Amino acid sequence: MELIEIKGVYKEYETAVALRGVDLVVGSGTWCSVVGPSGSGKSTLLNIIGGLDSPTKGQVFVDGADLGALSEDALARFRRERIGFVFQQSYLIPYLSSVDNVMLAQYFHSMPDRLEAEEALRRVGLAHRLGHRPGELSGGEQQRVCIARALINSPRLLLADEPTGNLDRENTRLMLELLKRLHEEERFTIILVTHDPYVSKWAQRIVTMEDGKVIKDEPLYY
Amino acid sequence: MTGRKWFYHVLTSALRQRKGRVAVAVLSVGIASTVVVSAVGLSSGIRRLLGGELKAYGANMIVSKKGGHIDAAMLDALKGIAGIEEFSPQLYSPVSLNGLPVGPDGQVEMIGMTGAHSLNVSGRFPGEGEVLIGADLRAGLGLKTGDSVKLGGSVMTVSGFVETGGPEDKAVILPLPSAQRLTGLEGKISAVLIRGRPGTLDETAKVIASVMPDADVKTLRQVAGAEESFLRKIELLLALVTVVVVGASAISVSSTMSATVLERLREIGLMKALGGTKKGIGRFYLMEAVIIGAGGGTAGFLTGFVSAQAVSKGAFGSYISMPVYLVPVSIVTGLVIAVAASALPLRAALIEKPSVVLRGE
Amino acid sequence: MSLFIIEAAVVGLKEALKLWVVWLVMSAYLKDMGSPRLIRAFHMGIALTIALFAVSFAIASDPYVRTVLSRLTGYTFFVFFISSIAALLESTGTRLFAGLKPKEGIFRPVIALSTVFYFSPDIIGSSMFIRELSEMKGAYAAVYLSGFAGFALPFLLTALTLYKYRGGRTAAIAAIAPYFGTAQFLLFLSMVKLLGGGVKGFAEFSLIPMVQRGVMKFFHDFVHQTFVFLMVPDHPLLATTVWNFIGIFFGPNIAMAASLFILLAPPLLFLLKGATSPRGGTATPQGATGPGEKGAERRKLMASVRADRRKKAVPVVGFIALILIFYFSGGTGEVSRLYNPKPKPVVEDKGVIIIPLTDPTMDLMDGMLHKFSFAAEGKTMNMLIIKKPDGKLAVCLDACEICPPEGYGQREAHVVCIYCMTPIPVETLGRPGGCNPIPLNASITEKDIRVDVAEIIGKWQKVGGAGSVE
Repeated sequence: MELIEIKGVYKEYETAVALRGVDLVVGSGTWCSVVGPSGSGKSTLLNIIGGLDSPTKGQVFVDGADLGALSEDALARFRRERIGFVFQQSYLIPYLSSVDNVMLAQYFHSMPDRLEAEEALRRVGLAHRLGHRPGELSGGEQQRVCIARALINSPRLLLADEPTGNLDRENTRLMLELLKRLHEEERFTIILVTHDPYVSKWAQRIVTMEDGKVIKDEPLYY
Repeated sequence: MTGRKWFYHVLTSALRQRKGRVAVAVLSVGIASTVVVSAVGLSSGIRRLLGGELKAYGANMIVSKKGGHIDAAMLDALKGIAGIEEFSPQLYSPVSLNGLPVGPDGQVEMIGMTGAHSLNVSGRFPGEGEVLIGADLRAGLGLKTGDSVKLGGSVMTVSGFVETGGPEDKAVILPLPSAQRLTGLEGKISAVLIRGRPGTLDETAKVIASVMPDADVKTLRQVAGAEESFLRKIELLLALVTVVVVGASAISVSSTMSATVLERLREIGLMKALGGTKKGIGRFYLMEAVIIGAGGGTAGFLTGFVSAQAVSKGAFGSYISMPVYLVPVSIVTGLVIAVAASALPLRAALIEKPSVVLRGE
Repeated sequence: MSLFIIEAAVVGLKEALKLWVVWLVMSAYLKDMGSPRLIRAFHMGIALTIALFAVSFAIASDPYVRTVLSRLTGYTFFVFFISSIAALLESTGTRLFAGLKPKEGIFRPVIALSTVFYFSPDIIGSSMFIRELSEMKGAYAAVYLSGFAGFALPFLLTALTLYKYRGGRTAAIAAIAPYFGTAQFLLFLSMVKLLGGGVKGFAEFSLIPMVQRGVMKFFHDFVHQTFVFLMVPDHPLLATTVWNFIGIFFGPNIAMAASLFILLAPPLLFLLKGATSPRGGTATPQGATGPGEKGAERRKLMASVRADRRKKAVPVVGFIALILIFYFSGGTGEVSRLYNPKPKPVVEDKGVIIIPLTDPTMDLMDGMLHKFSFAAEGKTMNMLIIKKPDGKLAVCLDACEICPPEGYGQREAHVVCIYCMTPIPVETLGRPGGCNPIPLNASITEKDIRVDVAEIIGKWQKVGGAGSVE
């Protein structure tokens, strides 16, 4: 079985339908972009893959686990051991330092380890920003903390929802380079949702969505 | 134990960040536990003062005559009664002190006794021509041992002072024969304070009544009974006030906590995304509530203690001793209010799906 | 009489609760070991115990046997307590039994026999106690019935609830299992004994007083022998000082502190060792290994080791708390629940002691315990007098043949030997032997009781523990 297998997923809300029958298979180690206009359902799809939301219909298998069959506690355990999230808003706890924010992810996983967290921040180039609060960091630096936090528990899957949405061109490039380096070192799978064509081209595969369905799915060759 | 220490580090950072809100919550909890401590402390302390007047003499029965005096000769009859261990005859009468207006009609209460018994006397029990002054009078008149005072028509020397927290503090005490002479009531007494053997009081009271048919014999219970019903009324009032205040405080804390939880909905969503379980996340917020509750409870104990003493001194004229168990009672009250008030909004927040919470940006 | 019925029910309930609770924890513990045969051996042991229980009802209750059984209960407590210490040390890394590899097959009979050994002294002692209660007038069937009812109650409740919800039983066992390693299990067994091992009904709820007195006796004998051995010189001043010094060791406070220490030290040691022992080792050392597979996995492992260690510490902490609670509320409090009046001194009149039946201060016929002290031959000899339910007066020494003469206290229809907490029904006073107060020949007239001084001195020779505590 591949890392991600999605079959016939529908997601309906009271007012709208976000996904209408999505099928997707993603192999391990792939960097996959999901693009489309706003409202196409790409964020919804990402949330469902990450277990943050559940489909109205359909099946979702991630890393061998049937997300629909997991209890809430099992789902939480699944998330913290196998998945890392990066969002457009950095969602860092404002009254904690960078190190503490990373340690938070460790805390829910098993136990906090300051040395490991500091090393992770060094790896993303924030050695001089360990004790700073998010308010004291630039947008790019904040997102780098998020990346360190997302990867601290060695997940097999990194889910990023418009991570560069608030960054300028230079910082976007820096961040994507960082992701690429880490991706090559750690070999995790990335699913990155974006509406920026420049960002999407960094991936190995582009999935295009519109109106809740996948309309195009093509690999990229360098 | 980096885990434990780090946990508290995060907690304190969170509390520090919301100093204002936290202070309000602690204040609310503190007020509630202050009221609880005061109410409980007052009612238990006052209970101990109950019958304190008689207890000061170690007596548990009192024989008196409504509107009159008892013949001292009757005392012989008491000597033979088996159930009486000790008795102390006393004479009460108002006298003028120093010719100065001290009491409501310019007179003070004079008590004639046969001995100090278990009174708290500094100095010594007066002999012939001497007098013992109550603590309040001493303060009011600036008297010292050895001073001369004019009592009624005679001059006496102060031999010492007495403090009991009861009516003696505003009275002067003389040896019984002197008192009888001073008031012209030789051979008479106002009351006999009796220590009867516990467990046989009622029987002894009957025997006494048969021997002294004109007198009123009351056991401590009867004397205290009237005070008891009054105390009950006070306790009810205190209880009512306590309930209202605790309720109000709980509502206040609850709304503070709700506001907090609402603000931190995003945090909760994030923690869920990080894989936190309801239990794990809840632990953070619950511990905050615990800290607020314990802090408020401790502060409440101190203020409650002080206010109870103030009320007691003001209303009853003396300080009361408060039971030690009030410390944990206060802390527990604080904890219960804080935790109960945060539990509901917390539970509601934890149920939300992370995607919903995170999306709301 | 209704008191006896309640006592019988309580005793039966206590024994059944012990069985039930041990069965539950044993199942949880053995579940991890995985062997169904061991569980069957345990059940066989229980069956044997219940058989012994039934048989024991046919044996007449005898105070000597009861005292022996009570001692046995105490010994089983110590056996399990010591083995729990051994297991505690073992589990924290101190290699005690290195090289010892017992055969698998030996476990089954060992478990069966240990079960019998563990439960039977209590159960037989309790059945004897119930039988003795039943010998009270008119209470025969009712007492037995209530004893059995008390015994059956927990099992009925279990059958109704846990078995109805089968998942309930397995869930309960699964929930309990992580808290009990071998050491915790043995400690648990010894705690159950300690806190519920008394075989004398209300008068003895826990074994803690017994532990205290055991320690006291040990100190007494040890220190006494040491000083005798050292042959303290005869200088009068020195001798007095030395004897005063010895007196400190005989004091109850030292013994109480010592017994508390003995009970608490091993569990506390275990907690201490557990908290400081090296972290659960894995391949990678602690420190900056950087994020990566090794990091997260290592943390998970360490976290689970920590969680396990915390779980295993919970029963130990619980036991420490229970010991402290019982020690400070029950242990010495029991004695204070007994009515123990101060003995009134009496003097002899031409070789006879005369005590009036009533005088202004007392009435010997009021059904309460009365004590009198008589000084002779450098000793204080106490007597007790109490009216029995049949109207006759019992006149005895305030001491029995077995125990050091700490005297008796009264509790409703029993007088209880304060040293060994054996309750003697007031109705049976006047019988010699065992823990009964030594009866005195006394002549009872309409006005008074007369006892020969020679009788008192003579009978006092029989008092246990050499007649006095130095």
